[in-house]
Amino acid sequence: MKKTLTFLILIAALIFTIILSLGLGAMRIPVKEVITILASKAGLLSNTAEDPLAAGVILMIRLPRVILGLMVGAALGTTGTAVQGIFRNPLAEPGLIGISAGASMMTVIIIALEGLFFIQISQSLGYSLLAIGAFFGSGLAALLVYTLSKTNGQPNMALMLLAGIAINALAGAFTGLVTYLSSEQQLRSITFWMLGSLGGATWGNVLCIAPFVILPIVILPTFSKGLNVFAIGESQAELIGLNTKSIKVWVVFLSTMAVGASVSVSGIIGFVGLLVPHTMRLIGGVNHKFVLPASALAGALVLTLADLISRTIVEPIELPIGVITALLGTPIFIYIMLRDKKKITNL
Amino acid sequence: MFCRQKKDGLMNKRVAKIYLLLIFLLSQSITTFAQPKRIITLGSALTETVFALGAGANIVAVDVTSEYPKAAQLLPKVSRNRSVNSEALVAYRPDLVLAPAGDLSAETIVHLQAVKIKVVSIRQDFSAGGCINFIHDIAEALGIKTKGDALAQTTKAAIAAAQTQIRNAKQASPKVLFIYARGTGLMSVAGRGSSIDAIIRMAGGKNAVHEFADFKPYTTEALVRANPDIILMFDFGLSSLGGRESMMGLPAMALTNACKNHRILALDGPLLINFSSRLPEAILTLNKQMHQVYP
Repeated sequence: MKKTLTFLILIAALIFTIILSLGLGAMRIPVKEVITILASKAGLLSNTAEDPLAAGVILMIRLPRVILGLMVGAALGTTGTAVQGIFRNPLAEPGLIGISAGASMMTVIIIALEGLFFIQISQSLGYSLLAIGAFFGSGLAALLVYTLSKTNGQPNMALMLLAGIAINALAGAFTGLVTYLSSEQQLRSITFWMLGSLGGATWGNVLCIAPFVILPIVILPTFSKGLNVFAIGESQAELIGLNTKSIKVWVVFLSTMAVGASVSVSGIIGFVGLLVPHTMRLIGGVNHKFVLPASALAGALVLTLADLISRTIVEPIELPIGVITALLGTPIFIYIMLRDKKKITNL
Repeated sequence: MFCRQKKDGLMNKRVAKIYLLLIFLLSQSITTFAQPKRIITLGSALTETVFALGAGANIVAVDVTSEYPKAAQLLPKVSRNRSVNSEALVAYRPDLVLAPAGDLSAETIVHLQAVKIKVVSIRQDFSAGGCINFIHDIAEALGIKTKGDALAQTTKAAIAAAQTQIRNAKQASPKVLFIYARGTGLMSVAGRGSSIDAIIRMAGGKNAVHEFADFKPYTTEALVRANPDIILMFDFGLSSLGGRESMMGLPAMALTNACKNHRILALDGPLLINFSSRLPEAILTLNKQMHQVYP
């Protein structure tokens, strides 16, 4: 009952946030006009004499941005839950196993080398080069972490965590080196990536990453049962007859796909993957059948809301969304850490 | 008005005159129609050049660096460069957005084009020729080619005059080290190919740094090795270090020729590096300042 209510509230809040996000922004557009524009686009109204610029802002700038926020938020929420599930560690998130760091390192390298040999590739692929690079970088990092963590053909979770930390440090060092060598203009693009923003959303790149982001969001909840069994401990789960290796491989693979694609367009957005699953567990318990879809909805809600705040709070300047999510996320992170102090120190 | 005059029964000659006037007005309005009415400029060099071309009244918003001329300071500021919010630009309903080449992200350009706003990226080379091309390119984007030709012409002549004057003065050429500072934690020096390197050479000085290109972080060792005759800074840069006194207190600073002889210059940053129609003024100002302390 409580779970159904949670879902209903989340869906209602999400719809409300979407409408608010489409209606608010640097350009003032009256509510009535927003509705007219959307209705006439959906074919519900015959073409009315609307402001073409307002229509352009809503359909070409705000709508892809809101959709990107929904996709990335849902992806971060779902993958965060799944990764916490396989690590059986409440403080895990996709970033921990090097996925985000790998993506950002590749992106930074591409930005810095753009003027050299990437310009050739860049011209034929357009702006999607960064997206492909980020995707490739996250995949490479995940593969490396996965290979390093294998013992007797089985990925070991403790090793994976350590390998993730090592890869994060390595990627951080490379990123720092490239930042040091890059020009002022490149530095600005790099900062943009490191702090995250949904401002780069266009129909082109949103549609480009949609399959890579949506597939994992849909598939990961089918692992709910397995992840629930996983919670009792990996060896115990195996004794019961669960194929733990297959679950680990799939969760890592799908998370890499979703997060790599997300990071490629929005940059690194911290804490959503960590904060959202926890809040959902506090509300509705630890059953993954609930936590996975609820985290998808809540992730979408939090990110869309954070984006709305980031672009309206100090108009016309846009705050990096990473700043907003981290400001919201850090206190919750510390709260969880203090609450689970005993459990963590006994690990 | 036209009707009343007809009613007045005036002669054909008068009517013809009015026709001519109407045609003239019509043609005027067509040419002004081709010129952008609402411009956003995202760079101080762009802003001051648009003002110099007499189109400043059509600017509706500028970026945060646009502080010259005074009229630009009164204009609303949109965010700067890469971090610019597409919608914040659109909100001003511009018909032209002028940006330094490479400053706007590909996505922002996609956004602006999607709502049918013209975006022109202007490339800038830090040289006398680059400055003239810069003026031409902006005038072309504004649809006022003839005005652009005129401004380019006078600027070109003024640059040539300034350079002849400097050559004829036959002054010694000081070694100048430029330090860009945003507080002691963030200091860089200018190397080859930078805007500041170009203006130092045009003003008759030598850049004390020739080992590397562009800007690199400042180190005490590099300072001692460069041993400049003059240290050049932007005015806000010097004040960010806490003024001349604290500047001279930096490690090893006292060992340089510049510091021993108190030759630290603090000049207007945008004037020096913009390479716009104010380039002649920049050359002469820097030259004069250099030789006041280094005769």
